Amino acid sequence: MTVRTLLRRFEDSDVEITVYGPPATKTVGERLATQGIDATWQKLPTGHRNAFAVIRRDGVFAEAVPLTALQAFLCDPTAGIGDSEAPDSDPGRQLLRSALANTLLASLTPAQLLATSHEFEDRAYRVGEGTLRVSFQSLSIFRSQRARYQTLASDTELDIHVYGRDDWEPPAIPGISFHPLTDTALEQVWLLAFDAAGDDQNKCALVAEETEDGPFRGLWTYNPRLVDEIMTAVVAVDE
Amino acid sequence: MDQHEQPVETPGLSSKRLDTLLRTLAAEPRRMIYTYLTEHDSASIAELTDVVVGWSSARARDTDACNWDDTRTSLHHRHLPVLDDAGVISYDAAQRTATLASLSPSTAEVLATITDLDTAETDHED
Repeated sequence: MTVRTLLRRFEDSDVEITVYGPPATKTVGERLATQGIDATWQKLPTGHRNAFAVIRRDGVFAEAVPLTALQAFLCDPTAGIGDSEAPDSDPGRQLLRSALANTLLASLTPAQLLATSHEFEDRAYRVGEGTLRVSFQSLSIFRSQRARYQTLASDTELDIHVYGRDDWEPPAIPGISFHPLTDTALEQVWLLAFDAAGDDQNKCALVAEETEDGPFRGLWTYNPRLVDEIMTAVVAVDE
Repeated sequence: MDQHEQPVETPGLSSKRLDTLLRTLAAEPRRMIYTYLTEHDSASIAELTDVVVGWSSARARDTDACNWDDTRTSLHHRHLPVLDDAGVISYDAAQRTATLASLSPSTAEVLATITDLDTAETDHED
């Protein structure tokens, strides 16, 4: 399985999002459309705080999420992340993550990928054991994440594997194995997968591929079988 | 004197009619449905259920505020017939579609006052 074939499986999924709120919320619908999502806006005098979005999959109601969480992800994904507070303690943000799981997003920015990665790393931190595999295209990109991963490795029993193009000599960090890649399979890919030591409730993965235009197309998932499949595929790249 | 402090003029509304309208909008889902239909005129029961479920969970800050199927059932069997009986909407139970009725100015004024107070109270306050 390559990342491209995996993403292709989600290309035809039928996801519709309707944004309900005052006129100022119309732009959220437009931003969703740039992510390749079938989005509409319906005027409703809810006030800004109580505007909401309804997500339908295959024509069936899936979830209603506060618009503030959706706006935060689309417009300012890293707000509040990196603070000492656990970013995934926000219930609106958690709801949005689960509501948009398994949804192919066409135009993800590095900030959105980073925000999602951080939430999954925090989940791994909380679980404290299992295998975490990450690929940030090239090893040099890992430099900015080094302190974060040092904490992850030193505070937990996690087995961490970092993949990337061989453009930087990483320092030895106990608990972290580096896998310089000569293969191009993961060169355009941003990937993070966590097996939660076999606990299906906590497995998660993020997979995105850089497009020719610049942004990434990708998705995140909590589906344990899909996470297992992604883990296996990453291991195979290095063999 | 601020004009908002003056008593609302509702010529032509009998006290019985007023009782009916107040009872009709006594339930939050019916106020939500009325508010939505004043913007959109007509909607399917699925759309109205999305609005009631989404708006309720947004107001309650509760992710499991209400179940979609249960809400749809209560709209179909209770709330939409109550709005229909009061002449506020017409509900086509066969087509599962609700349409705003043509309302007298005094009826529209009473209903607007109630829904405005409702959204001001629950949606604009911090």
